Parts: sequence; structure tokens; C-alpha cells
Amino acid sequence: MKALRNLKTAAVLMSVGGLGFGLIGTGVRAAITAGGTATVNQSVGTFGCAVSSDAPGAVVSGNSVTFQLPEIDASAPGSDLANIYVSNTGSMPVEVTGWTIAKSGTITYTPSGRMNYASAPFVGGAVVAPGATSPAYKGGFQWTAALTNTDLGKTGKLIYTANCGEVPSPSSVTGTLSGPSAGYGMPIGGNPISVYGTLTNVGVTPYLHSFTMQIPYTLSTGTLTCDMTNAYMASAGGTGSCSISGGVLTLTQNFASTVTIWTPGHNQSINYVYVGATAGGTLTMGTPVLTAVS
Amino acid sequence: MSIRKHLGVKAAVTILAIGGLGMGLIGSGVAATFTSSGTATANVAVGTLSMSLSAPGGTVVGNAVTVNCPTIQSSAAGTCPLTVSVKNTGSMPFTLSVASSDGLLAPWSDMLAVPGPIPAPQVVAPGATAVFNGGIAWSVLSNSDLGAAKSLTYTFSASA
Repeated sequence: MKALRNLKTAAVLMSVGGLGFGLIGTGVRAAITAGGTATVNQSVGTFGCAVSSDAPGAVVSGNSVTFQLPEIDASAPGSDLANIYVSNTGSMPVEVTGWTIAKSGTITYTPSGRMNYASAPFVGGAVVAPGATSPAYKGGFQWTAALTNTDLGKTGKLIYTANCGEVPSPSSVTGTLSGPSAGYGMPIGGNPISVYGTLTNVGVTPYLHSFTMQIPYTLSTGTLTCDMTNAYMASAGGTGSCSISGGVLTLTQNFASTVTIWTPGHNQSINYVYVGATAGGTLTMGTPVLTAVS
Repeated sequence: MSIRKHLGVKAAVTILAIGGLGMGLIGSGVAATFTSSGTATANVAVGTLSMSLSAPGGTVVGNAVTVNCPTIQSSAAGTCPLTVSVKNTGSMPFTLSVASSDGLLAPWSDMLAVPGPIPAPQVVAPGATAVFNGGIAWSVLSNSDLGAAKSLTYTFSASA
């Protein structure tokens, strides 16, 4: 009898235990979890430019520089100029797109008077790298006609404001390939042939200064070589460089500073680069891609 | 004689009976000696539930992967993709859900949520990998975006 009671007790306990396990089982289902995180961080660079001058007594304040030009002590035609520089204070390249010049003072400016001012003409590259300073721009007064007594004791003031813009994206210039055509039989011995096409300045202002282009290619045998000795208008100071790597021909053309015809909308067929081959293989060139313009 | 005979029979019966009992006793003794037994064992083991995360260009620390995109140096529209591969490295299938910290305002957007909704929970088999194509996208930036820093975190939760 006692043994039977014990058996019943055991059975009840087992039953409860089973129910308890059932509950535990349900709890486990909700409790088994795992997790992880994925984070992406993105920041935007800074953009800015400032002006400076090496004129005696020039004072820089924020993005401005003030200087006093020497007094004009003769009536003869001449100029009173100083260097102005544009510095890139941001993290991304800037392009000096031009200057806004405000004139004031008691002196009479042309055309009614004789006093004129320098337009701070572009010299060299207009693109300024982060942390770099541009070549000197010339600012100040110029007079081509002799001053007269009416100019005596007069004063003039010029404010040059540099307009800095973002370097245009490569899509603002397009390039197409006209030659050599697909499957061009390269001459034996590496004689250079012209790779040319149409270059179009879609929207680089005031005009296109330089561009970098990549042209994919295949050559059935031998090795491709390139030559930029005869860069576009090299005789006028144009320079260029090229390299070949991984089936891609990369070339850069820097137009001479005197070349100002590449205004927005201008297009013409130009020679991009000369190429040669170490063996008489078949050359096929792909679509050019502009990777940088300024 | 006959009675004796009868007695003899009784005695014989008795003897036989005793003998039978004795045999029975002996039988019981044999049963106690010859024994046999068996056991039934039930083993149970709980599987594992775990995941590993990876992303191209990402740095993995534990179950966290971080991608730092290059600083934007242009106002042009662009993307900073975060393609996350979540692999089931455990032994049991799990249901994987993802949540985004988001909070990005125009011109910024969460590539996992825009244009479509955040992916619904999905079952990932052991050894299988679920891929999520997220990241930060932006339309054309303006001066007000200069110097900005944006961060987006996806939290992956698995349950079985």
C-alpha cells in the first residue's frame, strides 16, 4: 500500500515535470536569439577658398585681403599692380571660375576717365588642389593714357572677389573615338598611329584646360605603347602624358594657357594620342571615358 | 497391506508433493539466479544559433561590421553602398529580421528602405546566407551639406 502510494506520487511528479519541460520548451523557443549590426559611415568634405597677397602691408581677414598700393607719382602711362593668390581651404578641389571686381573712389575710370584696372587674368591652371595656392593673379590699377591734372589727389579702390566653384564632373566633357577602327591591323615594328576622335566641352567654364581620358583596348599579340610627344597644340605649350596598364590606355592633355577656344559647346576632332605595338597584332579600341577635366 | 499400500500411496503422494514443492522452490531459486536487464537511454542536445556578418570593404568586430566610405568631395549625387551578407553559422534555421536606424533626411536616404520597404523577415537555413543591399544614397548636395557626417546602422535579429 505504501509502495503503491509512492508509485502514484512518482507518477504525478513525472507528469508535472513533463508539463514543466513543456513550459521550458516554449521558453527556449523565444529565448534563443542572435543578432548583429552593420554600420555605414559617410562624411562630406569641406569646400572653401581664400585670397591673399604678397603686397607690402597686405592684411588678411577671413576670406579677404586688403592692401595699399604705392602712390602714383607720375602722369606717364603705367600700372600699379600686386599679386593676388587664391588658396583652397577645403578638402575638395576648387576652380577659380573668375573674378568680380568692384571699383570705387574719387578717380574717374575709363571710358570717361583714364584709369583702368587689371582683370586678374587667368595664369596657368585654374584648379587649386586642397591646401594649395594658385599661381599669382595680377590685380590693381592700369592706365594707358597719361594722367592729367584732373587726376591729381584722387583715390581709387578696387575689390576683387574670387569666384570659386566646384571642379566640374567629367560628364561635362565628352569624347568619342574615330580611329583606329575595330580590328585595326597594327603595323609591325611599333610605328605610331594616331588615335583620334571628337572632344566636346559640354559645360566647363570659362573654358576647358585639361582632360584625362581612358580608352580600353585589346591587342591580339604584342604590347601596346603610347606616345604623347605630339600632344594637342604642343607647339603652343600643350603637354601630355600617357600610360598603359591592364588593357587600358590612359592619357592626359593639358592645353596651353593661351588656348582659350575650348569654351562650353566647342567641339572638334583632335588627336588624343599616338600608339604603337611591339608586334603586328590586331588592335581594337573601346569607348573613351573622361575621368577628369578642368 | 492394501492399506499400507494405500498409505504407501499417500506417502508417495506426499513425498511427490514435497518433492514437487521442492522442485518448485528449486525452480524459484533458479529464477533468481538467471537475470537479465536492459536500459534505454535518451540523449538530447540543443543546437546552435549563430550568425556572422560581412560586407565588402567592411571591418568586422564580433557580430558588428562597419564600412567607412570615402569622404564625399563633390556635390554630385552618389551612393555609399553597404551590402551585408548574413550567414547562418548555427545548426538550426532561424528567422532573420532587419531594422534600420535610418533617420536620414533629404537629400540623404537609406538604400535599404528607399524606394522599397525594409525587407520582411526571412528564414535562413543553416549554412545559407541572406544578402541585404543597403547603404546611404544622396541626391545633389548643397553648401549646407558641407562637413556633414552621416551614419546608418542595420540591426539584424535572428530567432529560432
